[in-house]
Amino acid sequence: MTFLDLPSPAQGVQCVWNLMLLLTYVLLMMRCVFLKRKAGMHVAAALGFLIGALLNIYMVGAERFAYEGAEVVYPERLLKLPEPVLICLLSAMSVTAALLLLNLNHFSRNQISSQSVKEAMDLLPSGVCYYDSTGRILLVNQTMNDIHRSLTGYTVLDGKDFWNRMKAGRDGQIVQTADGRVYSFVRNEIVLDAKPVFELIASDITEEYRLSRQLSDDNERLREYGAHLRSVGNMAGEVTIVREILDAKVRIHDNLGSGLILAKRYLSSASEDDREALLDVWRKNIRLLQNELQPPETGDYHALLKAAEDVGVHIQIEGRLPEDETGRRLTSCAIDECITNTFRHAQGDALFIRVVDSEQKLIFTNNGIRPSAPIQETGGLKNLRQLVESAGGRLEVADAPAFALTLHLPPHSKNPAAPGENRKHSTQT
Amino acid sequence: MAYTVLVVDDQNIPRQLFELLIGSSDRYKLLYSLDSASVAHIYCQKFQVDLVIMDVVMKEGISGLEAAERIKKGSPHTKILLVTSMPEVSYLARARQIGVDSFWYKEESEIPLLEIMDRTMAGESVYPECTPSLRLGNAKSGELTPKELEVLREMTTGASNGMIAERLGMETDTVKKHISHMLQKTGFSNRTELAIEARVGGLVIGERE
Repeated sequence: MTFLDLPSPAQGVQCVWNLMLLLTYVLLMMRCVFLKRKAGMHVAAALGFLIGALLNIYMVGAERFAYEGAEVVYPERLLKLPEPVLICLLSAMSVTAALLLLNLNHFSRNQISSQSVKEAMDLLPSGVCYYDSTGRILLVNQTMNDIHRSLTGYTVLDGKDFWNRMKAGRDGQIVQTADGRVYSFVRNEIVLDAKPVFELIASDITEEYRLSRQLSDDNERLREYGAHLRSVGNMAGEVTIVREILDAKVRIHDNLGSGLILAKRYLSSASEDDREALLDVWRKNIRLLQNELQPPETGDYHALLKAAEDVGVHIQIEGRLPEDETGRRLTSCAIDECITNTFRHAQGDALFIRVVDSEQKLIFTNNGIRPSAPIQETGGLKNLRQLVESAGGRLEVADAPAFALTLHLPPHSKNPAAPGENRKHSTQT
Repeated sequence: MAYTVLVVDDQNIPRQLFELLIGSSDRYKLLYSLDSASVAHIYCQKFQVDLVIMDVVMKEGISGLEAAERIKKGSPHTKILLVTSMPEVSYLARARQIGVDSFWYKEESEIPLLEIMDRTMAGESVYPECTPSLRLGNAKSGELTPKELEVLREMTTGASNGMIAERLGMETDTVKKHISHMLQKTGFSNRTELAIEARVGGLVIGERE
């Protein structure tokens, strides 16, 4: 039995069947292209379409041959093609189309499209924007557009311009939108198809920002509290000293009282013992009161210079000694060390200090004997070096041709003496 | 032969009282009287100093404790007698650690200073049994634990709980707990009141910055 032997309705059904398969394969070819499927799928769909097209030509040609007597465009012997072969071909094509369709449906269900990416990104609480080196937007989500709209009144048009404005903001890359939300912006550079693409992410840090501000305020209050407590502590120290002085004054007052009692007794009995005791008490009281009236000697280096004088070391200073806190502290320690060194090791009696303002340094030498062996930095000298270096200064110790210690003050230490203001003075005049 | 004495006190009147005391005894001879502890060790290295009488709290420069440490390093045979009117609890322990020979509380000690000097020169180490007791709110100073006193000392410097914890190597929560216990014992309503009272009374004296 051939196709021409079939009744007309059956022929019509087969023609429609084939036509539907043809349309299906057209659709399959389009989906393969759209979903970028592998080559085998493309070939299968194209082959199906080709077979369908040939069968269509065959069936239309056979009908025209049978009903209109028209010639067929293919060899007439093909008209004798057994019907079962035709049915098998159509069935095979139908099964293949069904398999291709299932495969494509499954693939599309598991495939992320750009639209699905966009939809997913729009659901993110963070703002995301991708743009190229010219600022052209490649992808931006709803949150980022909302942030931009809140700040500027319109959606993101230029990523580069947006980032530059973020950077120039008051708080760096942190912005607060009109609704009170706070976003922190971070930009990453990624390479896509060998071209740089910038990823701009805005994270919602409203709560962290609030807590950070609160912490900052708390810290400020704590700093104020600490400073207040420190000043109270210093004041308390002063109070204690004043209290000690008052106690001592009370003792003087008591001594004066005893003096008066002794004076009364002397006046009433006038014995020689009472006279001596009375004079002794009054001498002591007067000495105490006289010393009380003497202003205390002050000055940063006063104690050191007096100590040097007392231990028989004459100090000659050329220039003006540092007066800032760090300079004073380091210089005092160096003088201290050099005084001891002068009388103990060098057996000298003069210490020379030359202040070189322009180089922020002080050179210490003495008139003693030069060290017989290289100087070992132990004890005081070692401590002095540690102190100077921890303050950012430098210490040089030379033992030849004579002992010399050079103290380089740290750069931030200021010597108040102006150039040319150097003067010589000495502890012994 | 009289012992030579170096007096170190930055306050004029107490210094004069020490000088008078030394002058009143033929067993002692005043070598120098200094108003700064920073230079005391220079005198000890140059001269034969038998005894140093030195105040602990100095308004400027190094403290008597630091000066004592320097003197003991350079002149270990010089006897040192530290004096103070501050009941700061750490002073006694630090003085012992440094090797200070004797310790005398100006206001509280019942033994006269001259006797302490004599006993010190005889080779005895004379220390008070404890620091003078001080009233701190509802509590006596002895009721506070050593750890609480450490925290209190840092509090008087104005340090935050975090800073105190870092300096003392403990957890911030532990610091909070110590402060809370001290507030309970003393009855003070806040930490500022507690710190100020402790500092004014001289119970704890934080290191100068």
